[in-house]
Amino acid sequence: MKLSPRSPRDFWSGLIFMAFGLGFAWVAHDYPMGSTRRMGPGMFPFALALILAGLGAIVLLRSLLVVGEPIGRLNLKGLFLVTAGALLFGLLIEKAGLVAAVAAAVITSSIASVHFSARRAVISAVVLVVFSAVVFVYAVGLPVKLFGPWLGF
Amino acid sequence: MEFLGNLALGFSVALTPSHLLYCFIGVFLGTVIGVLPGLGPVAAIAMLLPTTFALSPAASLIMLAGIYYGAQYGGSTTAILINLPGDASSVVTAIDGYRMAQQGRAGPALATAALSSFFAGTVATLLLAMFAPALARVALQFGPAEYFSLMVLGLVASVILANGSLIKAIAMIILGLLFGLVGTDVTSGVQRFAFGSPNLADGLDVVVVAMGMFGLGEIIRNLEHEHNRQINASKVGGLRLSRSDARRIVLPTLRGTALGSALGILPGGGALLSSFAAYSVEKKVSPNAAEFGNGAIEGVAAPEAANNAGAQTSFVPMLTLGLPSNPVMALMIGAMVIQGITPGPQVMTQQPALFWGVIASMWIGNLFLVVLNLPLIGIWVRMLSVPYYYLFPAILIFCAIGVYSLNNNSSNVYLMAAFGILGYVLARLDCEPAPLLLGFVLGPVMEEFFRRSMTISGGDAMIFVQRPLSAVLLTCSLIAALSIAVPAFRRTREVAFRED
Repeated sequence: MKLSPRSPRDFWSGLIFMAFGLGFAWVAHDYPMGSTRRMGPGMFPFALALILAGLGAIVLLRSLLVVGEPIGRLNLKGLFLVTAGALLFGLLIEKAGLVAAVAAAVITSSIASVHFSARRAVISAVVLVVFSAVVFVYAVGLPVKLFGPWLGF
Repeated sequence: MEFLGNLALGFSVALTPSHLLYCFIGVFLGTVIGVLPGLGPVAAIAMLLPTTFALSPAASLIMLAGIYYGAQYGGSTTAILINLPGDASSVVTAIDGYRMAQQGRAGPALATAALSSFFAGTVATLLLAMFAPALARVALQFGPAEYFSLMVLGLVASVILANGSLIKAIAMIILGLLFGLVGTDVTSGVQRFAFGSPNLADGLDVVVVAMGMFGLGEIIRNLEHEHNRQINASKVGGLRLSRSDARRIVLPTLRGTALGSALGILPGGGALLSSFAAYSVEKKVSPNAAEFGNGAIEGVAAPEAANNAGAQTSFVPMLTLGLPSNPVMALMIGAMVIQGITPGPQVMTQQPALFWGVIASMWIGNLFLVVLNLPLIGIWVRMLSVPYYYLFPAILIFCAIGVYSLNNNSSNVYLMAAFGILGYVLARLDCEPAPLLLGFVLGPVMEEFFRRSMTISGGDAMIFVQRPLSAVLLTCSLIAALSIAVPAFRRTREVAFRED
């Protein structure tokens, strides 16, 4: 018998809280607990993690009983592209330099917009590359190379 | 009259050329960012926080404070002009402010917002100067148990207004506390939740968490309903108040200021609570109540005064007790810690120049806002029309570079991306990110106070209720938490958020 949650949002929140709670508790229970008089590094996080898991369970149970709004469509395209943009930046900044990192991040994330066009993305990229180079490298003095080893520099 | 001496000290610090400059930069940048659609004070401060590391503690706090109310004012501007509040505390301003703009009265609305905010800021600064020392003196009597209970109260109170279920908000707080504990435990030297990574052993950076959840997460949310807005630019006209307008805003401004100042000091209070409360009160009390919702100028004056007063007085618990009332204060605490200053009552006695300098500069910042913004309205209006598809990659880049610059390490960028995903997903599931940030900032401190209390009591947890002040604070927390269950209060909360 399938028990579908009446409140999907609470259902998944509850699951996530329980996952984090149990996860933190699992890691923390290996740390020295100490005594209540002299708390070790493990006690406070372990207790908090259990409370979190408990609250998660309550939210989960409630989701099976109390009706809530459906989640609606997640902006997976935006989520993926913005995250990918940030990740690309992190990946490229040291190996390929600021120019490549900024350009890649801008173009990738721009695709997430409903008004995306290649022309607009390129304009954004150029403006932001120049802006970042002038403000962050020349003015502020951020220690990054404009062009990195992967591009042959 | 000791506060006059303190203010004098403060102004002598705040009026130095470099501090004036940073105040101005902060206010200017804050307004710019507040005006841009999709960015609010939290994002503004998170993005600009790394730039303050190179500055002296006083200069960085002055600049950050300037950014805060600059962004608040920018958010009010967009609330009035395009019905898009930059921050939740400007939501109420939009109700009558936008109607006024639609009626061609954007000029008076903007002027009202500026003037009533300035008045409120002046009064709030005076109140801060008068009462902060007294509050700090009380706080110096606090022991670890009282501090712990105070923080519990602060955290619970801050989620009273959270949109959505209290249990989920508390869960977010605890999740934030746990993230705050990542890193090396100061007392025992043990690395917690670091999984062997030297970066994590130093702990998660508040900038990483804030930019991830409030920066990236917000971008992804905003992309869900991307549309470019029409501005009532043609009707902004002159920023002048007619005589009758000016007469009408006097009392609402006074009432808003009083309410905002009182509510801002409470743990959990601040601009948001103040603006909603002021609007409701004004609507009940005003002779022109019938006009509310249709462009009543009182509906702009009262909440604007309240949110500015609330914003400034919310610095009090932060500066004197180290207690953040809202995410912005949490970031300020983060900034102070990074600068090597532990927030708390000792700041006033150990660093009086810093403390009073920051307070004095808040007034100066308010002055800059009035002087700066009224003439520059035209530029702000033009900036409002920057399409979001140009804006959000820029936000992403600023966040990415800012986070990278923390220690020239890409792992912070990856962590920011992870928090972006987490922030977005949780927000879609009706879990507010703000409580997580508050818990994050307070995590290590709360543990420390808890530990010390337990050591003092010899392992007995009853110490928290045996010590009278601590017991009172915990009882207030309980009352606050239970008040959510009371139907009347529940209805007020829902009404407040239906305007969203």
